[in-house]
Amino acid sequence: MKSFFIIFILIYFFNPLISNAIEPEEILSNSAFENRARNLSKSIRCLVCQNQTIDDSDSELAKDLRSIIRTKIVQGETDEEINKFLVDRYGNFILMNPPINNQTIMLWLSPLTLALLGIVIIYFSFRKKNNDFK
Amino acid sequence: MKKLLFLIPLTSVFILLSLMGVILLQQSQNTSQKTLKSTLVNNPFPDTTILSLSETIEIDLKSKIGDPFLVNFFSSWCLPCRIEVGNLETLSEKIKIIGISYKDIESDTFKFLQEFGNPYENIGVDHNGHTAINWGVYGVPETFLINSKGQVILRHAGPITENVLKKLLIPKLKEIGL
Repeated sequence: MKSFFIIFILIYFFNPLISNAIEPEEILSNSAFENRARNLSKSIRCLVCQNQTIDDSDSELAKDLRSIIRTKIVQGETDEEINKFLVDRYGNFILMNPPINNQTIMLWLSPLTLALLGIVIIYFSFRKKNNDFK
Repeated sequence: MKKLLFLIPLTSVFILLSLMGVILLQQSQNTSQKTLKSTLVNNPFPDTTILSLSETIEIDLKSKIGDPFLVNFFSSWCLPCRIEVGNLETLSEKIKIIGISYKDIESDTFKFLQEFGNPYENIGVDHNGHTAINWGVYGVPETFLINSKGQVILRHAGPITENVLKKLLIPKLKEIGL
């Protein structure tokens, strides 16, 4: 029990340090630039692993994407310009939080549709129960 | 009136489902390929200036506009790239092919070309993978067909197998008169 507790404490406190894939040589010396790079990386999908951000992924492509983001930040590009560069090349799929447009409207409408469908089902099942009681 | 109230959510669900159906149908008609569509298709290829394999000259791909050409990202460490060399050689009889050696050691690239063949008119190097990202590449091999106006008209991710050659590339080349 004691060892379990120690392992739990270690994982709890050190997990944030080991959960990202960024390597020491990638980190920029300018901390403001580095923070921007990290924030951007957390919103960009790793295209070859798909359910991870490039901040979390060990893949070569994710590493190259992190590197190109840092190069562009140092060159003076804004976050919007960097996002546009990536979306122009890989489509909205590269964003973890895609914008609402013709291509993604399905994604945004489906939870609403399912919620409404649920309300209809609940409404009818309650009505049936009330009628049964009467 | 109260009895009619249940029609509101029901109608909303019906409208939303119909809308989703129409969108899905449109998307399925637009995407015949199983792979993700490249955003470069039907757009001009991105500005690309790369060092040649022996790093003696710079290759500006804009200078190639005028005739159709293929851009093929490959690497010596990529097994599917070995499979496609023969088919690329067949294609090189009809169209110029620019090879971009992706994240490779130059001596290994030379060995690869000696061993499996060299279908390329020019070979550039992409040591850090940034040129590949500029072209929206996921991995090697990946091939782009550029028309004489400098527009990307086809992208194929994966090796150019016999099947891809016959069913995809040769018909597309015929469309542009090759």
